Amino acid sequence: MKIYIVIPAFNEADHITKVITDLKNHGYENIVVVDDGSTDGTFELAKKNQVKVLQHVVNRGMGAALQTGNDFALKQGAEVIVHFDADGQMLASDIKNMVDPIINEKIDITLGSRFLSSKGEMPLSKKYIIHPLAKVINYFFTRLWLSDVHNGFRALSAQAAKKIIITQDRMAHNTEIVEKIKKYHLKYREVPVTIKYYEYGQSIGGGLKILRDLLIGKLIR
Amino acid sequence: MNIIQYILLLLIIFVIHRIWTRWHNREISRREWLGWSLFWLAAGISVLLPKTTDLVAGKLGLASGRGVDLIVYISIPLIFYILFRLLVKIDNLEQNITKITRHLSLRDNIEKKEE
Repeated sequence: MKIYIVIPAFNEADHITKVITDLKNHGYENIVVVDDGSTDGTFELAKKNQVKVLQHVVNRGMGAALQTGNDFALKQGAEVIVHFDADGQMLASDIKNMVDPIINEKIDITLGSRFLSSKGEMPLSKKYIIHPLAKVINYFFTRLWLSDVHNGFRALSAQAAKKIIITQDRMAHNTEIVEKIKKYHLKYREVPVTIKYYEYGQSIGGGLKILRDLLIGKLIR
Repeated sequence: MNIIQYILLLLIIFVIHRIWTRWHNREISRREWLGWSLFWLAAGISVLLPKTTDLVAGKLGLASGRGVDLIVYISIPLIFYILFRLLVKIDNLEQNITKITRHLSLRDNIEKKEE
């Protein structure tokens, strides 16, 4: 089974080496880093680690970087594509649980969920304010109730990756992907994962930007 | 004439001047030049002779019969429409930039493979 790990990276020089090493230690060979126009040497660092590194000459956002990674992986004949963060928040040891349902049970796409497991500490304001709101907004746009939205850990079968073309360049791609799962009747499953928080991630302001992107996408595309 | 009329006229003259120099340098098309010139000319007339707009407002059946009201009523939907058009345009531009960026990054890699 050809499993490709796609890592979008924007100014992640501090974490990228550790993330790649970790993945390699877990036996993943096909690692694709998509450097999204970083200015801190992420590209060069990733290159040193002997993995495939694609480069966006200008910053286009996480959604855009993921789609570039998908395109590349599909061209290389990937059978499963895993979306993995470059900031070290996700655990390489969780990937197996994400990929297994796709290989063994013909699930099209698995989505990591922080809430199905009790592991991982989350800031309280995130748990009780931002996430409930995000869930409602996500439902409004996608009609799919998920226990977790926007953590970005997911695995796609090649068929799913061919169908889900990400057009939301920035952070609204999370919702867009869920929307397309529904639209194309893909079989999905949520898988418990651990997310380590040392940075806050999406703030209220970031959330509003996502909402803006979603609305613009709905209105004019 | 009031001070506000002088100020507005100065602004309009400046804008028309800009339009004409851009036309002169072939930065805008003939149609744009003509359209915008007419638009600002009309703006100039309505500043110089505000009563003319009252005339149009009356003809169109505005209860107040004030030209200023007419201008506001027309401007707001127009501005929203232009905003919408701009949003669409910017969105298209962004998507195209992403396409180019993606194409470049993928092409670079295919080339490297051949080395």
